[in-house]
Amino acid sequence: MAALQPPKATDPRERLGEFAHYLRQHGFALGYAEIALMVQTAAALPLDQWPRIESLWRAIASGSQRQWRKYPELHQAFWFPHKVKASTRSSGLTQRARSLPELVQQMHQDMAQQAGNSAPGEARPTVGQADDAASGELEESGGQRAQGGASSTAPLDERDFAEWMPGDMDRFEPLVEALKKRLRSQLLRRFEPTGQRGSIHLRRSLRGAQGTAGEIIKLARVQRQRRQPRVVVLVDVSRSMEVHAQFYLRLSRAFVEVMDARALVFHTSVADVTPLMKRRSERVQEKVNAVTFGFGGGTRIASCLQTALKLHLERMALQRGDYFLVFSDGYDTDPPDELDAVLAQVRARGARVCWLHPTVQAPQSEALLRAANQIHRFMPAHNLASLARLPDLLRSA
Amino acid sequence: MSTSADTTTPQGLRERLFHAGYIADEELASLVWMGLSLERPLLLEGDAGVGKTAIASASAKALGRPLLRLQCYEGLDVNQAVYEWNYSRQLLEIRMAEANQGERAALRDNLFSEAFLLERPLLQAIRSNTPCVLLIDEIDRADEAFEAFLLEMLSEYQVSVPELGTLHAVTKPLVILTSNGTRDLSDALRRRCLFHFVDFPTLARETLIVRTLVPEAASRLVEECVAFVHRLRKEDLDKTPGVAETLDWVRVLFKLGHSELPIDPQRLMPSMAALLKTRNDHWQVTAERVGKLMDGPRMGQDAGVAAGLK
Repeated sequence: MAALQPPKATDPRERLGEFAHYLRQHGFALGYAEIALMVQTAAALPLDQWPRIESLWRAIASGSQRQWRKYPELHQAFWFPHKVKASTRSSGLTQRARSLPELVQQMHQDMAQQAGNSAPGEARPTVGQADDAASGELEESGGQRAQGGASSTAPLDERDFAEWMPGDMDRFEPLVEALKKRLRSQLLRRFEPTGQRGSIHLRRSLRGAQGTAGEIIKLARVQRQRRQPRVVVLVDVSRSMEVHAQFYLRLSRAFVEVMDARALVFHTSVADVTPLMKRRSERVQEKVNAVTFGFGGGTRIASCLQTALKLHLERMALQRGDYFLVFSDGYDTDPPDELDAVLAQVRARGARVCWLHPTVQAPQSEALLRAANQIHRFMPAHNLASLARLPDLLRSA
Repeated sequence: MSTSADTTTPQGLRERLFHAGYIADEELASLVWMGLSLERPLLLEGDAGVGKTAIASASAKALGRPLLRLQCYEGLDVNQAVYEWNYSRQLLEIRMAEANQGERAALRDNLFSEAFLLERPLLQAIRSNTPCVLLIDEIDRADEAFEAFLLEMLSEYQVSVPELGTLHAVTKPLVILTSNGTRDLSDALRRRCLFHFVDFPTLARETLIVRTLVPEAASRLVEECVAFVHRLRKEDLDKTPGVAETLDWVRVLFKLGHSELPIDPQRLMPSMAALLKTRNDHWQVTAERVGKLMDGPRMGQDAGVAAGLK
């Protein structure tokens, strides 16, 4: 193998490494293989068709609908910042960056030169390959450079939800995704057929042997079924929760989308908004707003939870290990003992009751103090950092 | 394929797809070209009815390759997707060997040979002498275990059969995976594929699609129908009608003898079954609502825009 050369300052690899780093900062999962593929594509595309590179790189870099929609904006901002209005330029560049057409041309020249220079059988490293130590350095150096004055720490984590901007709320879904992965699945008594694993199921094996004159050729195997715990999210949308309710609604949407949870909202009455949460459209958002904010006024937590259990959750049998998450500040206008009684019903079904409050300290309302024994855990949910601790807290609940 | 368009460039491939009956936008044509050039699988995600599956059959037609299809479902396993041993034939072979008192060692060696291997779509695709197009439809319906199994096949184009060893690809197929997004696919699978989100087409493109696929329908009818469906998609429906539904609706209206949308919405209601697929949607889209969607000068404007852009 030829000795590896560190990339020159004008090397297209450098610029592409920076672009990959830029995409990673926006949540794209780009590895060496993807960068190599991007180079390969640019080199394979006829020079006169270089504007197509955006759509080709989009297909390589994106892994989901959200990334797919976000890519063009990032592509334009990185490669054609002069075309983007009100954009922030990256600082710290010591030389003029190459434009995309120049970069594509350079790649073509490199490919042609490589084809001319390489001896038969001699392999030269391509951009961003795993054995190219220099390209790794490049990406690292890209990571350490200040981007428009921003530091690597995320102050958003510590900021209270009340100060969040609507655009920040995209961060809920990865959080719930992580939560889903960490929640234990439950082992059931029922069995399910498996291919190669599990214990032998004699009756099924014999039944399967009917086609071969009773000769058992293929053993049927089974193992115990597993199920993910079900989640019910109840969001308090009363006036006292006005500031936090929209963030909790977004969070409950993430629960619905990722964990197929049931989402209910309550104030003086309760409404099931799960079907609305499953659809993403402005009209749906209007409907949710109408359901949640249309009434205003006080809070009747105990009677709302009672209605939710009797009416909305009647068919969905809460079982052992399921989660009953209430997002509320705990200010209740029902008689204080009623909350204790209704939460006792939830516990009797085996579900775990968790109370998520928008304050750092657990709420001290009369109703909650009396019902504290029925609540497995109080959890602060006032900023992203506190939500990040949810998986640990829920697992230990 | 009777066209001179070259498949080595995205533009040429787009033309070929057009002649195969698929009106692909530039980005989609570039994606298929890239899949062919880089020998990478394509992952197409989007709502039902936007034409994901049709891309595979059109690509096969455009490239002159056979199409192999694997429809995914819950419980799909290796035996149905990749290979299966022909147990009955093996048993018969054993019985015959016993009857003839054949040599046991030879029987043992032959019993798990390729002669007893039943090839299923994935194995057929990589063992085919001529390159083909492999459609793995609705991968999100399959279990995660099967998705994990696909990784080897999609990255290395090979299949490991414990009794035989690794079977390498004779020819590399163009693999197209489709997903309706009902569950999240693993990052490992996504990283092996080139991703494309197939969105609902623009008004102009959808008009062109319908005109091409239903040439017998009057232009006016096509334009008005497409404009109506575009408006309907903005409604809060359980199941948003896709291109397939538009095509069905235009065909139905053509069969009913319409050359344009009737003014009376009541006359349209029986044919709405082609567009509305749930009880809730039927309940929501009343004749009055249809009338409002059809009403106003904008309908004509929409159709005019489509006509201008084509």
